[in-house]
Amino acid sequence: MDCKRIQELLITDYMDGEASAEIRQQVKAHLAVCAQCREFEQVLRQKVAAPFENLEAVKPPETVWQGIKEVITAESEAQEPVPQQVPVTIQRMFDFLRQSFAVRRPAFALSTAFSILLVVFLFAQGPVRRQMAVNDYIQEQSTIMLSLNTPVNGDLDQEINFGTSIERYLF
Amino acid sequence: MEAIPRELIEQAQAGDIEAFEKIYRAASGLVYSVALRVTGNRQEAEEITQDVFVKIYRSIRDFRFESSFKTWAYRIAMNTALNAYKRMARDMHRREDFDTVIETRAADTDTVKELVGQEERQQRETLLESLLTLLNPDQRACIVLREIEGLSYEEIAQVLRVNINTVRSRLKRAREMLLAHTGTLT
Repeated sequence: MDCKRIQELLITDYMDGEASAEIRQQVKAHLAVCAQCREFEQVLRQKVAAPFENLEAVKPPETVWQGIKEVITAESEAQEPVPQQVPVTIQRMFDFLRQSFAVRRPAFALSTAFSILLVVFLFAQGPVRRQMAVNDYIQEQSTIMLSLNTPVNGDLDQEINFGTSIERYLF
Repeated sequence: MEAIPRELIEQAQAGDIEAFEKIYRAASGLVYSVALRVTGNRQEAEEITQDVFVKIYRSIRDFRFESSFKTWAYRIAMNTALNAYKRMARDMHRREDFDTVIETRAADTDTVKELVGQEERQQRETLLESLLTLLNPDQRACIVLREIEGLSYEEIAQVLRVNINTVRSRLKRAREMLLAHTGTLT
């Protein structure tokens, strides 16, 4: 590696501990023989890295928390009605179900619509089929009556009476 | 920042303000530090810290543990601080009035000088602020997260939502800028 590449590594990965062991070894080997890059590294450490080292930890004054507490307490009280706290696990379950249905909503809606149409169709078909069955039965009985050579002008109530309920209903 | 237990976050998600206060105690230092280093203004940093934790409280129910809480808090803090810094810079540029910041820093200087044995600390703080003002907001964000907060390139990338090469490039340019000005700063 040439000096330009070494100095690029010094100013980024090497300085920040992000370089691999192999790269670090190559940089160290180069620094051992290159006075210019050694000087560059020293300036970098003194002028760029040192001002940021061992800084005292800073903390916000207590008034900041008081301000936050006032805001969030007021917001909590403003939420009406006060909701019963749903356990997080249950909330997660609802979220999961909501997401699941959100993804499959088109398919779910289509299948629901199809089911409703099917039920309506079947119910609508019931009375029609029953009416058709009655009509068929009447037609069939009429054909039988005619085939028995029943007098056309006769009194059906008197001439044909086998005493069954269907005959009483029909004639 | 000390680790925040998952149970504590879940309690805060359920609306427990005491649990939220514990989270604040654990994370307020990093938020304030980022805000202070990015803006260079204590009063602004305090307002940003308050703003950040109100935002965290409002959105903590949406936190899904997909990233670490620390990364999430850093992200909100950095975005809020950068927005505040850009607004301050815009206002200063518009009004050509730099007195506010200079006065703020002067007031801070006076306060620190009153404390016995704090002169060196003050000098370092002044040098630090001078160095950071040389950088643009993106470079400043990377330097603060790397040099002051000690985040890795990957963590910085997650906080700023950029790729690692962008982080590396911004750090390189920032340090080149600092090197170019070292003669005038010492």
